[in-house]
Amino acid sequence: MYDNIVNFHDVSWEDYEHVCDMRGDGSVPRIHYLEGELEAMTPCREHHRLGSGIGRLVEAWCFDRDIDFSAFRSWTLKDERVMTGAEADECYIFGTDTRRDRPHLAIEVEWTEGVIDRPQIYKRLGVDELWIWRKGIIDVYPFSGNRIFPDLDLTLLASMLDRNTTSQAIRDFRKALAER
Amino acid sequence: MSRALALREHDDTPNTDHIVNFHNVTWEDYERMLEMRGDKSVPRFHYLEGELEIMSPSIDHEQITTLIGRLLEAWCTDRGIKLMALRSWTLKESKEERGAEADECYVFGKERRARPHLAIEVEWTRGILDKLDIYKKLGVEEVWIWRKGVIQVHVFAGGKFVRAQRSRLLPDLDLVLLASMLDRDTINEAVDDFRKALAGEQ
Repeated sequence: MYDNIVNFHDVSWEDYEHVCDMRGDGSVPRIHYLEGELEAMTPCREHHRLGSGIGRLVEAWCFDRDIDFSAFRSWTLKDERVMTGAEADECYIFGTDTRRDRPHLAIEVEWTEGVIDRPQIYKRLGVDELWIWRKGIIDVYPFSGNRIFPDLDLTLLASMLDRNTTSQAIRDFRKALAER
Repeated sequence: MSRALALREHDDTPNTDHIVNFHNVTWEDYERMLEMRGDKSVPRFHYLEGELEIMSPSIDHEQITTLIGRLLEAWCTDRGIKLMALRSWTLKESKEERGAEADECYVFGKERRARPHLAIEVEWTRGILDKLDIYKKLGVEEVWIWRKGVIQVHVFAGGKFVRAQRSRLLPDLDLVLLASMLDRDTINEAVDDFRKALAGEQ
């Protein structure tokens, strides 16, 4: 199982927008763009499972702590001034004020290696924090300096992703947290 | 392997073709995408009635393509058969809503033509588009498809492609023997072994 990724080079901003329009409202392929480099990706099943698994675990953690959140899936984030565009696996805004034009958190699963520098993209787009899952580990990029949830143990969270079902992962995550 | 281990150690740079599809693509969109890709030979595009398939070939895919081409060229050169290789020449027909970029294309003889006689497709990884359905309206006479070690020959007859045992363009060419040379590590080895095997047959 692997993601399918094709790249185009020297792509203008207009062409990038055209490719997004051409793709339409469908969620695939997902498009990332950074200064002329365009990457179109169709994620495989395992990629989807990991992306939504991480999302559901964060949501469970937030529910248990009464933290408000809104999920925006692969919301297309673009900024022509910095020639950058992205569609993460999951995006979140925390708190009750959801009128921001950027999510607080973006989550990317790197199941198959691409060539575009993900941290560079999200930093330019003004997202507060990026998580990248790669080979069983979640790396955190807190662009604003401080982590959004310093108490959230991402090593523990990542270790739940081998469970057979998402519901079992959530149950085990809660149990492990309660036992601390 | 446990699932946890599989998640840590899975291959994140797999040696497969990468294929991405777009649906409901207009002819204008297809042409604009081709322009965006520019003169480069990758990714390659196939288009069939609104469905656009974009493929970046793996190293194995490219190696098989090159070897088939070199062996075919050696065979023709030895027999004085003139040919020209046209790589992944973009073949398209707006009226038929069809477009293709084969792995290799050939014209035989010295005449300049609008379409190649032969298109070769290496199917290292399976896409969703029916390639023969595309080629049947593009004016190509013969399509060879490499799939799992076998070169299938499809000849154009009565408006469609029909599977054949031998090439109609090159009836004396033993494609089973040619396909058996594709596991060689270098072009030199493959061509030498092919020539030796052919000399031994006579």
